[in-house]
Amino acid sequence: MDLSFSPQDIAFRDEVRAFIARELSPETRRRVEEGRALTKADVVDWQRTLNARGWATPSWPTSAGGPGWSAVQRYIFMDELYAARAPEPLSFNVSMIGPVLIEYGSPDQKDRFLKPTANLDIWWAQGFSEPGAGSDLAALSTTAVRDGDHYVVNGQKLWQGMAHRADWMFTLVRTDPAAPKKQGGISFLLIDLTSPGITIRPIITIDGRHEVNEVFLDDVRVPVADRIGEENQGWTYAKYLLSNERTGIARIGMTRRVLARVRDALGASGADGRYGREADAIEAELKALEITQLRVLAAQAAGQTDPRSSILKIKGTELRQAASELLMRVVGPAGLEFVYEGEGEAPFEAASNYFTLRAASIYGGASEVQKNIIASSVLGL
Amino acid sequence: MNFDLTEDQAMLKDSTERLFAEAADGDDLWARMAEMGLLAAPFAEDEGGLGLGPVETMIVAEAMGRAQAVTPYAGAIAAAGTVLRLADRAPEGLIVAVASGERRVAWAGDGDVATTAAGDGWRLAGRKINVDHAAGADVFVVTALDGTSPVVLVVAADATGLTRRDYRLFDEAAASELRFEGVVAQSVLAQGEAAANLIARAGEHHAAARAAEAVGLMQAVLDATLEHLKTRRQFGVTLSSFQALRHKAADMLVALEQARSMAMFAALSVDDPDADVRRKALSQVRSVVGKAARLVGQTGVQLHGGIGVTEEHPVGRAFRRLTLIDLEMERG
Repeated sequence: MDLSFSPQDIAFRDEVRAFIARELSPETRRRVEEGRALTKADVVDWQRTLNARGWATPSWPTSAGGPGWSAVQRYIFMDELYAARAPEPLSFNVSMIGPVLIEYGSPDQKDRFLKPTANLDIWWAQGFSEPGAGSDLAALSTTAVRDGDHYVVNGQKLWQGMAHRADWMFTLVRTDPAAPKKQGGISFLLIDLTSPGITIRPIITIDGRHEVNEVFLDDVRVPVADRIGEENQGWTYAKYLLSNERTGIARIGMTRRVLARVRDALGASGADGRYGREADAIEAELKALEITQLRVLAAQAAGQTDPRSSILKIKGTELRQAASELLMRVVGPAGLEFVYEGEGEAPFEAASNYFTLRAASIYGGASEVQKNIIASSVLGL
Repeated sequence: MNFDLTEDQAMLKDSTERLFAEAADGDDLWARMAEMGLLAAPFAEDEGGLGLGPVETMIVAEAMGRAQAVTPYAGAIAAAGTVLRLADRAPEGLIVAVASGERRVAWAGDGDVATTAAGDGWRLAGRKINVDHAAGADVFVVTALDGTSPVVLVVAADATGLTRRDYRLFDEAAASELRFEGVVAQSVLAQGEAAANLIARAGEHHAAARAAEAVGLMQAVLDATLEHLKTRRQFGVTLSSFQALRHKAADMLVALEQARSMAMFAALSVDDPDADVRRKALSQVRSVVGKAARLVGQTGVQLHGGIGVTEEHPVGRAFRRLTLIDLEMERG
């Protein structure tokens, strides 16, 4: 039993650290550090910088143009990004649709999409949730009816993160309403968002930001060639995507960064006070979670699927939320001023970040859903 | 980086789990632990030990917790043993005797004892409380103050002027109050800064062992709770069909896994050469394990319903042990 990294891993870490220090724009770094909304250029430029180095798609195998890193290298890479205040590679592209294309895409789809997905020439949105299908995703009712070489898609999608910046949307649709199980009649389509019949409407969230949207599909024609895998097998691909979404969702480095801001704001005089002790307690839980994450990674590296990744999601979001709340309290009166996205910058974004993170325990499988998973898959209840 | 046990460690885990599952508490268990080399494990090979490390201690302590066995292990081996092991010079033959189980040492940390160097040696006066498994111990490792300067001493259990009042703690462990009136120490292990360092190291090793024991206890509570949820029927269905209860069981697992990570972290940090690294690591371990012990203990009792608060049921007793560990963790 040994927690230390190998000399090769340490050399890799140093290489990543030097690269980020050299390449990351100071303005992007500042916005990440201060918890500001990132511009489209922040995300795209950084993704392309990483991609030029071959690092934009940490989890992809070399056969798909990825770096082919070990679980430990991926962990080190992400940890370095967080520590250096760099944006993450765009998760819709890299962690969600990318692995699905690699695992289930046709040769033609891989050819068309993998490179532009890695380079963020295509920005993907996720078209899963609907007004009537949240945690119960399989209850979705957007329909796709076959018409020659096309599907005709009708329905409404909800909570599409960054869809207003996106070019394409990976979308779950119902192709067989008569299927005996609701999971059975679902297909997975790739939809060009410039297609006629698509309307994207912004939703402003309680943090004053425009991140999520609703997407209306009205007789949208989608080529059958843009379906992933088999018709009515979409649920299988969706489950695969969601399991990838959940790994690494603990965001430990991000929370550590917020704690560092708490310490800065407290200064030496506040270190032993109530807030300082709360920060200590969060930091201790974070240390435990880091080791829990490494244990899960080690199990995954040994080829075991580990339903304990639900623990990472639950605890990771709990700590992110706790740290953001603590920062808001520590900043206090200086952080009350509020601006909506697009109106400039407030002096502090601590409150905005606190409000943003309330969603963290709702998306990607709500904490209550994760507990259901633990109860049945881990505890055997 | 790896979290796997070596082949030897895996064997140790198997054999200790078997031992604690079979053996009853008491002297016989201690003798069998000695026979298996569990007491000798952390000591150097040239002093009758096996030269093993904190991971082995973690394995033993966790197995003990899992079986809810009550033994002098944490006080005698993790705390007092660490002091003997790390002192510049332990009394001749003491480590060999402790490692073989021939003599038993107890750790007397809590309470106030003053000491002064007199012509015939160090004299002690004062009182120690909650000395773990003091009855039957052959020697005590005692912390004391010479003015404001810490001193660590070895005192024979039959020393003149030493009296003992035996009782039990709420976790069922045997404990004693020791009164020292003009007791002359057998030897002095360290003074001043060296003594402060030894006391800190004993506390860290003790906390690491107790963290692992707590993980075993929490696992026992979770296992019993899951069994109860799956078998107990109310309203015509098993309790496991109620989501409110399933979620509480999931909360227990999250806390347990966090604590398990910290028990490993403790084992991997407790011999770090940097004192600041050790201090911070063990303080984080205590914070997480204490909270987890409370949550798992309280929730385990709650989910058992009435039976959980009875003296006869193991879950209530495990809760008491976890509560004691929680209090220890909080005090540091």
